[in-house]
Amino acid sequence: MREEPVYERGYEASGIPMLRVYPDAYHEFIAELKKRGFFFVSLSAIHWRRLFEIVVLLYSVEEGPVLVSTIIPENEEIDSIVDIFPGAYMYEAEAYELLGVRFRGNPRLRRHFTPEELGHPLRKEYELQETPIGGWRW
Amino acid sequence: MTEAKWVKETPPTLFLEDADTGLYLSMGPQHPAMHGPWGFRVRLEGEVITWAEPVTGFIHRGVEKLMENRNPQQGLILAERVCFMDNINWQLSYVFAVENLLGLRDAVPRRADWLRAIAAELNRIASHFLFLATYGHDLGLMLAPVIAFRERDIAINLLDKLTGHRITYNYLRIGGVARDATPSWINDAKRSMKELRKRLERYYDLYIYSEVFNERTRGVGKTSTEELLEWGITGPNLRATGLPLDLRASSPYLEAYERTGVEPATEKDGDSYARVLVRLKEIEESIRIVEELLETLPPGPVLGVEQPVISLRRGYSYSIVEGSRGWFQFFIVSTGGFTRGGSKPYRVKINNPCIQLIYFIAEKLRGMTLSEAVAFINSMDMCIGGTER
Amino acid sequence: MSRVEARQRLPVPRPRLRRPGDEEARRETIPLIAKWAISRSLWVMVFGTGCCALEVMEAFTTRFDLERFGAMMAESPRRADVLIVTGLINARVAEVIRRIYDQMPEPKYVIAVGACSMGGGPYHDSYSTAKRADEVVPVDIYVPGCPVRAEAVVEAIRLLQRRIYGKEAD
Repeated sequence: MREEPVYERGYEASGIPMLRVYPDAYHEFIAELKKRGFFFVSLSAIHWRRLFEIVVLLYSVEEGPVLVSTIIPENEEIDSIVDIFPGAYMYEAEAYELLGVRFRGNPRLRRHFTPEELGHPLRKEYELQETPIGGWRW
Repeated sequence: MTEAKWVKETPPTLFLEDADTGLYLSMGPQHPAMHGPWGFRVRLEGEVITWAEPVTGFIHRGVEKLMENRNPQQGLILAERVCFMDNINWQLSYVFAVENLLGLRDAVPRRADWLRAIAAELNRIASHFLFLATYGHDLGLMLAPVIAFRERDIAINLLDKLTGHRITYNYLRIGGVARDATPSWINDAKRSMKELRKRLERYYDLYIYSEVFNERTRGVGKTSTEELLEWGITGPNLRATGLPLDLRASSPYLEAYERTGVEPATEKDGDSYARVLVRLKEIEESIRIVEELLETLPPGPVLGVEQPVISLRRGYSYSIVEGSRGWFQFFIVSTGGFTRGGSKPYRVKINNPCIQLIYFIAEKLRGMTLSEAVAFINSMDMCIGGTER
Repeated sequence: MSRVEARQRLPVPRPRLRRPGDEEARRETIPLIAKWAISRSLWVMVFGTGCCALEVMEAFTTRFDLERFGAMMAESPRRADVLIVTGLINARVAEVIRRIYDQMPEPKYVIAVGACSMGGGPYHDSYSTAKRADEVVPVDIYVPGCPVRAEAVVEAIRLLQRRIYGKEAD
């Protein structure tokens, strides 16, 4: 584990502390937090152009919530935390399906909500359009 | 019409046993026992389930992408339709996220705070009665939908007189609530709460003291606290295992909850029986909270900010609200910037425990018989609209 | 005339999508008493895919009792007369709805409920929903609202009853 995995600290708008970690220390950092009594609540993925940001919310009954965030370039993979917290599976599958984030170590990333032809709809390049009445694509 | 792809999907080799015996059953999207269009593909050997995989994707609307095209005032409409059984708490979550981002939490007047709490608790009562209705119906208690809908009607009629609609109220605004409560409504509400409390007695007879109900639900789907915490499942399902974690009590997000004090309802066993009991206790608690809030309603305006609110500031905003199914979370990322039509958020992520719950249920279904499975799945009170958004 | 010739004269009924003119054709073949019976005992298949499903369920229960008009909720499409499509139509759910519609025996009717089935509703610019219910199943009655009120659903069933029976009666 790196000496200092956290390189930026801040607070989000309602007061939850937000920590930015390096991507190679991300998995161990979360395992460490689990040992300290934090449990998993949710995982979100944001698409900045050419970058992905993964934000994990962990909560501890004593210390309250904390947000752990890491930034990776678009083409790279990030470690999956399914072996630490099995609840993250659906969030990671959804991030893969809608955004294209690939998780290393996730046993099965499959599409749940949308068919294959749609690609990754939540990316910024994908524009919403009003489908004309009478011409639904599929 | 192309062939349904989900039917052709074969199960992954990771989860299958070596011998390929057994019957594949589709507890699929249209099923009398599943509420909402979702289901499982289940492999049966005899009566016992050996493998289950969720079948989803029938109600995905892409709300997260749509929100990127709506300014904060327009987003209120989409926010409450995420899970259509507990609208006020979802809208509350969205309103908190936007208000935190704009720094407007102090501009909300106290009367609006009280009214938000009253509406949220009434909606929680309605949602739990809906759970009792559908759960009883699935277990064969045909009386359950008839009377539980009548009680749910009491709460919904109050909200109808207050907001104008029975399900999607669109009652909250950024900076307050939309309408004030008149004195006649307050009297109506007090009378209704007394009536509701009297009628709740019958539910104890029907559910808790009934032998058939006990036999069908005790010991079914036993969950433990560690398991649920690993999966991240909160709400009444977690409280049924013994951990008294309720955000209204530990970190109250509305001043009204601080004033009345919320007592989290817990049970020890963690099986389906405990989950039903926890929800009954929560209904009682909510009735008490509403009565106290109606007594202490402060005077004043109900909107503290000039409408419509169409601008956003730069930043991250994460709001967590204790809804009737767990923690409803809205994560709004905004880059500031004002375009024609108002600021649109850069990314909106909607989280709730129903997302994990579908795979948790699939894991737990292994080893259960089919009739236990129905009693277990519906006791977790899943809202598929919240999973798929 | 031999039996073979008699069979050659009768037209073979072919199932087809509902078109204008079907109602009149059906009116001539089904006797009035049968139409009265059908309209007073509709079995409704509620395939709830959206928020409107909750209000439709409420229309069948205690307060807006639809059972007094003869309508009952049928659990399976194989014995239903009316299909209520509650709004939201996805890509995947469209195939399911079409299959359910095909499984229903004739005569069958469809009620499309909610703003989502007429132009898309609040999800009009979504990548995932259809804008019209008409693209999937032929619809007889539209009920506007987001979500509909239970009284409107009761009115829709009554309207359907009047339409089947063919004249104003009770």
